[in-house]
Amino acid sequence: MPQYSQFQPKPYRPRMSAFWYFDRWPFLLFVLRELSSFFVAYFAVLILVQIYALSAGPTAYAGFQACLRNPLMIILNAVTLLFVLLHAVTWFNLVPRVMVREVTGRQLSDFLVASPNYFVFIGASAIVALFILRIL
Amino acid sequence: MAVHRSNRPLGWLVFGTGGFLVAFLLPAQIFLYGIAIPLGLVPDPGYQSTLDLLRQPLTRVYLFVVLAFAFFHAAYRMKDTLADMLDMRKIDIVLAYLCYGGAIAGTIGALWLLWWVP
Repeated sequence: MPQYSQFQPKPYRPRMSAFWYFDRWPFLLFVLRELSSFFVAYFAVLILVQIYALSAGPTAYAGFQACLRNPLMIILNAVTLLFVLLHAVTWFNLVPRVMVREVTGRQLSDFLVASPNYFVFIGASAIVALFILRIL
Repeated sequence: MAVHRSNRPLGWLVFGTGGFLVAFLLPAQIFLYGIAIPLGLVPDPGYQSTLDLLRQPLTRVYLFVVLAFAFFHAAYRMKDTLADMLDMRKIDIVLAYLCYGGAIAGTIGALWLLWWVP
């Protein structure tokens, strides 16, 4: 190494591991939340397949339903549900971070701002369920 | 001085709307069609009844809106997740084409399938 380089500034290049998200729990939670998008895409495609099977006739739909009864598919869909619920909870709890929270000069608590989301979630889920089960 | 204008808010609007639709509406659908009906936890409404539901225009509009926003919501996040997790930020324009291309394909697929429901 030449003598003069000792006094030359070296550019700062932080080295980051490709597995940086295992370093801390909040990092891992962030990455798990972001990974929910793959499960959202998967389930949206599954709905497309279901619409196709329904349009193709009773035999095709029976085959689709038999495929969904496969234990591996049930596990995959259970994991999908967990990831989408993680997305939902983190999304609802984000609202107090981005919304104006002052009413009549008082700061509302995070809980109060986030809670309406959970009521809408319960109501929307109930309505969707009643339609899917053909009660409505 | 030139003001730098980002096109990200446009994408975020779709991402944000999709985020709410996915959070509010998808869990019930995943639980019932993906877990409860296959396991027999709830009575299966059956082929004809489910097809009748799909035939209603309101159901089709609902499915199209939810699917289109879900695809674009997922694409927005998948692009950034792939860039961050697999250290591919340098080629994020390629990832953007792939992810949004997939979302456009999914949306067209949804429109096509819902249009041709018998």
